[in-house]
Amino acid sequence: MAVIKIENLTHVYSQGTPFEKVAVSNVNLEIEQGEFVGVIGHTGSGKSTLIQHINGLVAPTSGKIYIDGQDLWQDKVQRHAIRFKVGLVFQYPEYQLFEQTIYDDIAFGPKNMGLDEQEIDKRVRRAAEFVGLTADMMEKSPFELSGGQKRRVAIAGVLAMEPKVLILDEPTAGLDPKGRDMILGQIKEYHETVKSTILLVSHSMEDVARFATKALVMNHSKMFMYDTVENVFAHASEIEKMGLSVPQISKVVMGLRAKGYDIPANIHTVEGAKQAILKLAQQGGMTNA
Amino acid sequence: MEKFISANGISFGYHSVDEQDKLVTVLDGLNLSINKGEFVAILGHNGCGKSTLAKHFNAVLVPYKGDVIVDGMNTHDEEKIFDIRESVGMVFQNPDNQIVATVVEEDVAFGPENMGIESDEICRRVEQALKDVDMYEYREHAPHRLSGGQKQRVAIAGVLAMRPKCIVMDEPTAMLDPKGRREVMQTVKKMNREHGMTVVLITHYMDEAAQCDRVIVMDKGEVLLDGAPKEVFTHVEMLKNVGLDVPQTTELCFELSKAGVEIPLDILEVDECVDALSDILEKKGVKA
Repeated sequence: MAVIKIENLTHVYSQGTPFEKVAVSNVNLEIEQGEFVGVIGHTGSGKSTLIQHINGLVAPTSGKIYIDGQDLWQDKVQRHAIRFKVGLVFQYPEYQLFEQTIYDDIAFGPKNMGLDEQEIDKRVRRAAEFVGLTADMMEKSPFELSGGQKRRVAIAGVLAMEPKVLILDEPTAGLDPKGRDMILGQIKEYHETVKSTILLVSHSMEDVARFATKALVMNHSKMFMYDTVENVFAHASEIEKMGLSVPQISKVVMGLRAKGYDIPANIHTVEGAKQAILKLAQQGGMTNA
Repeated sequence: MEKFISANGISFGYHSVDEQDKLVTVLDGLNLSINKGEFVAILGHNGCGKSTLAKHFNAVLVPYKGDVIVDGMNTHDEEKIFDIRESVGMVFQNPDNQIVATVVEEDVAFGPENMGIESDEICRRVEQALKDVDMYEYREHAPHRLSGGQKQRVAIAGVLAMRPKCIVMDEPTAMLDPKGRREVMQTVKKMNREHGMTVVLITHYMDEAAQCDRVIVMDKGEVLLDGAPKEVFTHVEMLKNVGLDVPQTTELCFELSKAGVEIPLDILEVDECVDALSDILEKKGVKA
């Protein structure tokens, strides 16, 4: 069963005022449990509004959202419980830290869920481990940490709630390449261990190609595509027209194909391209495209 | 070439909050100069001191030791601080922290107003600056309703309206989508190529650094590499060791060469890469 089901979702901001703006227009979408989805789209394409619907931060103007088969807006009591199933990590989450110790900050979510002390402790330690925070750091103030570490604390705070669906809005913005690879690697590991569903909003097509299995493309408030990463990046020219890009390596592969070389079109990572080129070179004159 | 900014043996540190005010050194006797009209990228992992260095370029910070000379003025000279800040403008990562007014054109006018420029001239400059960043049609909009890329271009216009000789940008594209990034890079390139403005760009995007004239790589408060992008990016392993990356094309060539393929290591652009690869495949007897 689809863990997220969206039916005819439309959201209009400031309806009935001169600032009226359709942010999400008639989106239909089903995401299966356990997918790792890269969410891409130009700024203002509606992707943030869309993901905010998934844990009920904004209410649809029209349409329905089902989490785990339950209608998110059916009743208020239920909505509270459904929200715990969907964890949302905002952009620059390090600005949301507020507790005196790292431990307390990570424990804030699970405490609000009404879990007992023991369970909270277990979850806090597990979440901290996922993001590479060591036990001796737990009693420190989060404000002593570097930006990248603070961000990992904030992400741990959401992981500790063990949501079925984890949504991250540009978790690597502003990080250096090493910090970026570290956080994405940890999210990938969490995904593989816990088998949760991940929605990763990113402006980096390279990262989407490396980590996600599916890609959801938003364009001018409409959903352009929801398909495998390979199929999405195969629409390179349309994607570029939307103000997005495809990974640089995909362009190299397309260039080689345009010259007539027999290299598969569905290669979007450096490692994949390396293997394909080595294979092609080994075959020597045997291949004819 | 004429030097515009030179940092001569500068040291700087911050006082640690928790460990009895212990001084944490960030820059340690750094030497660096930036020439007039140059388009320079500064790369380095988080915490390597690149933002601290950038803040020395317009006297937001002054070094404990050594001197920073900007356009002939020493940043230690307090009387010159306003002149220095007029000649070097700064753009930061988060546009929301840089916008002060509720209407785009008023926000762009904020800088020149503070400089005491007469209102006709301010109007001309605001118009020109907004046109330079392609945001003129939004002049009467509220900044908080713009997209990230648009806001960042408004922030850049606010700096341009002060007509600085140099613009220092600290990760201006970190929060933007690919189109927003392209727009900001195009704007900055235009200011550099057409108006001869000196540009210092701090970035984590290797493809942006590849578009600059010169790339400086910092590590532990020192300059690790300094040269044209083609030279700097051949040091793939050194860059990875200091937490950085190279463009994907460069990485592919590096990986292929490790696997025994003879391929140049200084390839940055897609077309270059495609040509080099098809040369190799042709030599190997693979028919297209």
